[in-house]
Amino acid sequence: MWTWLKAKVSMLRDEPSSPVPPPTAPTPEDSEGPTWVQKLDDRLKTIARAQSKLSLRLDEFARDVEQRFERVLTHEPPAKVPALLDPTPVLDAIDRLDDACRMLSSHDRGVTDGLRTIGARLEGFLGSMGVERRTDVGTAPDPRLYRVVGTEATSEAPDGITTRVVRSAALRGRDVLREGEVLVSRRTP
Amino acid sequence: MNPVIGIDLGTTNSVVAELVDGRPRAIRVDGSPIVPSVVLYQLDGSIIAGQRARNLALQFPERTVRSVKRQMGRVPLIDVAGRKVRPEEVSAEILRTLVQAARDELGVPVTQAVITVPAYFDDAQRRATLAAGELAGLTVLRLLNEPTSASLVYDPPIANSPDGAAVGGPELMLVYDLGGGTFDVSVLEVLGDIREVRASAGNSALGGDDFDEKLLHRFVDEIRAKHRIDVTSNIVAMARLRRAAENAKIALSRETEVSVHEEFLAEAEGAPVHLNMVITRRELETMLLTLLESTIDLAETAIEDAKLAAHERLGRICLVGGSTRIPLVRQLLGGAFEAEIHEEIDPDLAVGLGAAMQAGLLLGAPVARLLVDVAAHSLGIRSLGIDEDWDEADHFAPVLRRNTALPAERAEEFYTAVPDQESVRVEVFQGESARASDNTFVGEFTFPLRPSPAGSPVEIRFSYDLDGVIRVTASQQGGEQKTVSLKVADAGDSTESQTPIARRARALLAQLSEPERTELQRQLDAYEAASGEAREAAENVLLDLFLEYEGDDDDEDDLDGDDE
Repeated sequence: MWTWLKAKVSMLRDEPSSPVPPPTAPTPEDSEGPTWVQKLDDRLKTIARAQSKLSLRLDEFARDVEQRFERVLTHEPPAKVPALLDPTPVLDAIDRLDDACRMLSSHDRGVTDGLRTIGARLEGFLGSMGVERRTDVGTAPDPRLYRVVGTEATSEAPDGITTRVVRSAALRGRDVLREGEVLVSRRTP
Repeated sequence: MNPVIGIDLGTTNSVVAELVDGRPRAIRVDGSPIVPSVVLYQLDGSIIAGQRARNLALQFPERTVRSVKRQMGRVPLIDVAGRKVRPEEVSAEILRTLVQAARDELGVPVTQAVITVPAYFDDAQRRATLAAGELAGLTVLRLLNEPTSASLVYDPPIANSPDGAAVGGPELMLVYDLGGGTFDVSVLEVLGDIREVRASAGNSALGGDDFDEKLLHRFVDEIRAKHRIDVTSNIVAMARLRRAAENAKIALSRETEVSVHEEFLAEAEGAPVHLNMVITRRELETMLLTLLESTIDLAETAIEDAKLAAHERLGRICLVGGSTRIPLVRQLLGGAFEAEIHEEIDPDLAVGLGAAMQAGLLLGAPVARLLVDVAAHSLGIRSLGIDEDWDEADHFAPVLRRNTALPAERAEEFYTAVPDQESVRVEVFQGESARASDNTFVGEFTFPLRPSPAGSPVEIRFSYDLDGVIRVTASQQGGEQKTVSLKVADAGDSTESQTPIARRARALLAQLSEPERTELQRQLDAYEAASGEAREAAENVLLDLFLEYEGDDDDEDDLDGDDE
């Protein structure tokens, strides 16, 4: 609407010889010539701005509604059990205790036992939060739970058996919270 | 009704996405939307693909195929597990895994999909991909170029959109895709729903894995220097260090420094060896600079190959691939090209999400924009520029950049200017000008410093929620920290809720040539900086410019409309 009128006004203003006929019944204002056209042009401009603003505001409103609707749809209901903060640092700490125990020699038995007890306490804490720490050794690794990061040559175990857990895995219910890392056996003759 | 599915069949990882109520959503496979493109042929004849195959790959290298995409249309057969298979058969296994996951998620059979391919794929490679889709039981609706797919997520062709690309001339978009193992960059011409890749360049052996490797070597060197042992032959130590390197790299995209602690890593002369070190973002950036500069060179090559006409210029840069989260990537791109940088869509998923949108467009499903809350303006502080005197410091140093997805937390390191500097004045601004005084002042506070040599780091951290409040924290290593909350009037907008006038102006900017472009930009800046009555006046000026610059195209449509 606006652009059509604008085109007509432009024709009146810029091209006096336009085939579009001028108004047949001129009012007193028309005797002012370009002022009449200018006034009409200004008013049309004001209308056009208002129309444009309205359309943009409507668009803004539509977007706002759409966005709020999306948030409502994606809003997760409050969990029944308070969610545990990321258990990774605790799991890593228990893994490091295991590493420490592995490095201690047999006459450090007392220290080893103490560290293992601390590890068990931390594991118990995780368990109370619904987190199950997994360190499966002696079986083929479950690829859903563990990533094989290396192999160890051995003549004692069959091929493909987990010989060491480098990083423990963790589950909450059936969900894998974190993937573990393991070494597996590679049988040598 | 058939589900609307798009698949990003990647070299390292793949993604499957569906269109729900017009918006794409990635489907989780084995708990993650990012699926390793790895296939394992088991002894019992069964075949597994994805995360579980990746997890067993090191155990069964002779029965595993990785990066099969590189072989597509290039080699007829691959030797694996004592048999010969066609690359398209291997790809089909990945597709089957993705389709199965989609079927499990949606509860209905999936029979058709759009699959993405690199823009540089030739006819043989495309035919092989098509064959893979058919082997997986899919009707391939279209093979879609990856950069085109990414562009759809950032700028879908939506009918009657006020800022749709169909207004005016075409927009040129640079799609910068830095993934785990490959880098691709493309110049794309976008005009409404017509998208054409004008040029592409890339490096098929560069990606995030190389960056991890740099950090891994840094850790190994640190252990060698401190404990005089070489841990490279220690499988367990290397596995732990590799993971630590990846974690540190990811953390350094948010933090200016991270502490790496790996206790009981190995033994040296009967004593345990620990790795305890701090690695800074600056240090990582120094390691990566040459590699990342090479990607900028390739982007320049692509732009040269695209042969831009005198009146053409890049409208925007879209970041794709997980490695684009590294702040230096954006910094280098910002320095090399004058175009707005977009990174608000999850870069790991963008190509897959775009494929789902394309599938929707082909099947006549409604397609809508993704709703992402972003920072509408860059937020940063006034600092001393390289060539500035102390008393005329007016350099604007952005910390949290425009179009960053919210909520977000970003930190940058700044350095004291003189020895034993007693305090630092943290003046916060929002805007895009390189001069702080040309941007909008948000607030300020003074942070007392402990005595330290000139050039000592001070961390400035911006934490930004959706409530329009930013928390600015200044801290000094080993010293105190101070946090101030500042209310930002309209910086907490999203691309979706920026004022429609600003959005429309930006869409129009990309399609104008000089001098109209400069004029519109000037008026837009004035509008965004203004408030109250001045803003209303600036809005009117913008509306008039829209009418003037877009008028010719609209006339015909409106006349048609009137005739009806």
